[in-house]
Amino acid sequence: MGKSSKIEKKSKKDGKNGGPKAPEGANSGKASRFTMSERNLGLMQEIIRKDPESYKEEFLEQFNYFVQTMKLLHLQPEQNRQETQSLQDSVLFLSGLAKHYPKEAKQFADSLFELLRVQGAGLDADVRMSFCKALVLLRNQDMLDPIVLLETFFELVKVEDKVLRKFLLASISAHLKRVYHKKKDVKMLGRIQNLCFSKIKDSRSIVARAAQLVCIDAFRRKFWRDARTANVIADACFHKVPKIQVTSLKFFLGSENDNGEEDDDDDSAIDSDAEDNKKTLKEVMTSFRNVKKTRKREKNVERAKKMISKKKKQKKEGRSKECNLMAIQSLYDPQEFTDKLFGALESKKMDKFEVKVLKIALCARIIGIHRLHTLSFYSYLHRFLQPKQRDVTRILLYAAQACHEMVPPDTIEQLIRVIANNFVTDRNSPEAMTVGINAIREILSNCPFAATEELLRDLSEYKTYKNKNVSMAARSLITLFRAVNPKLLARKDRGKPQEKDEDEKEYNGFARPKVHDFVSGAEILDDDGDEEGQGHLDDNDDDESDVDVSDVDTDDVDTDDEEEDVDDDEGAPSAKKRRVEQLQNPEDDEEEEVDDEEEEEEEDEEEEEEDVDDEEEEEEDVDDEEDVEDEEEDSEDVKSSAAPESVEEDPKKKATKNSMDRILTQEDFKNIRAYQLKKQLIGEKRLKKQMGKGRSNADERIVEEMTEKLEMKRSTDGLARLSDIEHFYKKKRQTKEERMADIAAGRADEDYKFGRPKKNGAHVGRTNEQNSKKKVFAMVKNKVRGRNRQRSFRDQQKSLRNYLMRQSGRKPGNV
Amino acid sequence: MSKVSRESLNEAVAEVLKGSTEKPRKFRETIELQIGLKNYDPQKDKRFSGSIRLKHIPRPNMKVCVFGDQHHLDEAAAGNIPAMSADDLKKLNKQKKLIKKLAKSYDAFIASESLIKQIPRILGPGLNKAGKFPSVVTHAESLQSKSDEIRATVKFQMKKVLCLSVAVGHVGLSQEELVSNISLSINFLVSLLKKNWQNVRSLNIKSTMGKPQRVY
Repeated sequence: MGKSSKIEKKSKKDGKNGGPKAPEGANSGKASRFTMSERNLGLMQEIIRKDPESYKEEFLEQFNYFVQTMKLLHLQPEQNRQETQSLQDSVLFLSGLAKHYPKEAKQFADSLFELLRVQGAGLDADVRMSFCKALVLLRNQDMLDPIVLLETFFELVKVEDKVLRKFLLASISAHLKRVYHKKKDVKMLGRIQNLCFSKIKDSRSIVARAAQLVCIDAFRRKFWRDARTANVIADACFHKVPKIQVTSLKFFLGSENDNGEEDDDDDSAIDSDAEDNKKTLKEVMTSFRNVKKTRKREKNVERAKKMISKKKKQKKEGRSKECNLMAIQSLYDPQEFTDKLFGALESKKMDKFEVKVLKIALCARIIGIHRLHTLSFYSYLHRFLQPKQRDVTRILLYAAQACHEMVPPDTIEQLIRVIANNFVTDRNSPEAMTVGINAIREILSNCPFAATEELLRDLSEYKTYKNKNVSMAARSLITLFRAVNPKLLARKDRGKPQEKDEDEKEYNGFARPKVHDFVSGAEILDDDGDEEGQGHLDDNDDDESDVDVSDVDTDDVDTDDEEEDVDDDEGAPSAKKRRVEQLQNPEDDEEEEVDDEEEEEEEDEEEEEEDVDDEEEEEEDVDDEEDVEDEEEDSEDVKSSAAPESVEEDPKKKATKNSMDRILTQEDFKNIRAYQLKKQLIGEKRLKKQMGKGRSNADERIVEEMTEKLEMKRSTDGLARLSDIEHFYKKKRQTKEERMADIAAGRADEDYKFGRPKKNGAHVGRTNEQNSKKKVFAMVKNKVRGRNRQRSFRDQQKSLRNYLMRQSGRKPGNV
Repeated sequence: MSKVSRESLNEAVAEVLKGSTEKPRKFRETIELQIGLKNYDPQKDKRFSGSIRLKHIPRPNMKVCVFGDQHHLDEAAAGNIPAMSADDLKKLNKQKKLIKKLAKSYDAFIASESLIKQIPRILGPGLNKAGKFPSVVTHAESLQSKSDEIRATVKFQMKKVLCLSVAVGHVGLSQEELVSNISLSINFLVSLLKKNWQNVRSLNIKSTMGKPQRVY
């Protein structure tokens, strides 16, 4: 289009002298060629467009010329640019006007097709390109069947011409966009899709690749975001040409950067909102075009451009991430696919290492997302798990991603043992140890059932290791197991048992799915939803009564002890004891429902609680505020006598009853959620407290990171990230080069405001006084110092006094 | 304010029961709860899943098969429960067709503790693919109660689409039993959702051949 507009512009200039009478000059072939270069086809195009009927002859003339040249071209396709320039012009001319003369247009298109098909490879690159452009133009005017055109395009891809290939791909996807957005023509989209899918299976690799690129692009841009496309792309993972394999693999894995930060995505979401308020690139450019150019404005525009492109990039990445997950989810038969991919990995055929890693990555990701059983994959990974292995952190990451709750624990145990033996030994560098422990942590957070006591205690010994990175990694492992399964830890590492938030867990053990009996947290709601329950909750909402919640459900035993010590109310201890007994009895009643296993656990926990309480008495000074409040609560409880006791009688039964008898409302759920949040908060507080006085900022940070991570796991696809494995508590000391690179990167961003004064410029190195000497006198003369300055009050006073003195005839100055 | 009043639920259940008595079928109709969701992006938001044990068994005819060690095999033989030993499973020889057939012929599986770890190795991924991976049973539990427990358990799992349905009872149950089952499952489902009731578009109760009754 750009070309034609240029021509048109030129034609307007020339138009004054030669334009209007130009059409009359063309008669014989030779004359027409001569006039062709003189006359401007653009202008003629315009005229014809206005009145196609009456100018038909002119059009036909051009058309005849075109037909003649085509014949020539058939015979000798290799003509150089000068010779074909006129032909290109006329092609442009004809394609622009084709819609007015459908019959000729058909012939025109057919001849173009034929030439491209027969002589496609032999033609001059420019001619070929101009033919293709003409065809695209015709297609956009619906003058020809897009399927035929696509066929031709896929044929032309074979020609070794990079520019042409690029143009073809771009035009295909532009066409798809048109069909998708403007016409919503589902049938046409389907036909094009079918064509592309058949081309992907083409024996010529370049054609297959082009089709694959079209498919991927269409999937990313939502034209064909469906299971079918995803599966066709997935099939290309097994193509014999490695390049096509890699493209497919990368499509499913997403770009490199995706492995990194999750937060970036959120930022971009916020920014994109803000960006909508800001100007677009186009607006910025137009406003710049119309103002006086100053250096500052230029700089501003540059900066704005940079910002906009950055935002765009971020947005794109976020989108691609989402679509990868979707592509993986929409595989027809993930198990089959993974088995096949894994088979390809294991086969004799040697892949490049990079390709291998990509395949491992995709296998791991699909296994993790779909929870597949591909057991030999884990043992296959063993051979790569050496500290010296290239890209070992990545492979560790993939190992972690492939682990999920449905894998038999012994398989995972072997994997962990290999990692522990190879990485976590004193012979290795601290980095290797850190990475190893981190990987083990990630694996175990995915399937906690694989942990053994022996191994875990072994690893937790490293918490006092002299290298900070290693010790912190070990500590984070301990923190994880405090939340997941404290029984496996050494007693001193366990900490106080906390109220576990088990709702989110899907499995209690391997092949032991977690089954609920009631809506968890429903016990806090009152039977009939009357004000009592509400009041209770309102209490919780106050900040002061944090402890109140914990009191309700966690440590009855604890308060019991306290009460005995204090002995303020006579009735209290016995009542409390009764309550504890009651608490245990109903559980016995429910035996049929609760697994024996579970009950054992509960008993264990209770024992532990008592243990910890003993310890706690020693360090009561830490907890004393809490205790005081506890006591207060207790006394209140007792005063309010029977009612709350009956409420607390049996939370489980009550919850069951609640969730059976009525339909909970939105408010009820809000209350439940608030209650659970509070419980969780208290859990965290506890955790921090129990680490005692010796706790450091680092410990707190670990706890925070852990909760953050668990939160993230729940919200997204739940796969580990590379940053988890490569997480070093203490940053390595940077080398000088790295520091300089960091500085440079910072500068590029900020467009540095501060820095050295400028070295060259009009006024550099002169004072204002010197400058003023060069100026015109009129500019400077008014700037006599003091003239334009406000005098101070004192000066005014002084001069007034002198003036008055002089008036009265005295000498000024000596008062 | 409750989104679904008790009366309307009662009415709907009565209507469903009435429909089944008016035109009795030759089998026991199951009553299912159909749920439509909204404001949920199955691609972005995490898919939820959770299982809950209902008080009254919704599908008493569910076929449960035991993969047992000797202890459990004996118990199963006594209780007339279909059972297979490890050797039986090995005989399938990892053939996909046979395993698929096995998975199809039962609704659920349970396996003894000693066997469960080997099952992925013996049977391959077939059972997992069918979504019928066995759950574990210890020697302390009786097979009968375990299989009843499994019959009573329903699983809510969102897949690629914004609707799901679960069996919550059958027409043989009484009105009260049905209502308690239904309200329990509605409550549990809603508790699974991110924004609770704000994610629910519709709730329908329906017997296998009957007309759907909209409750919400």
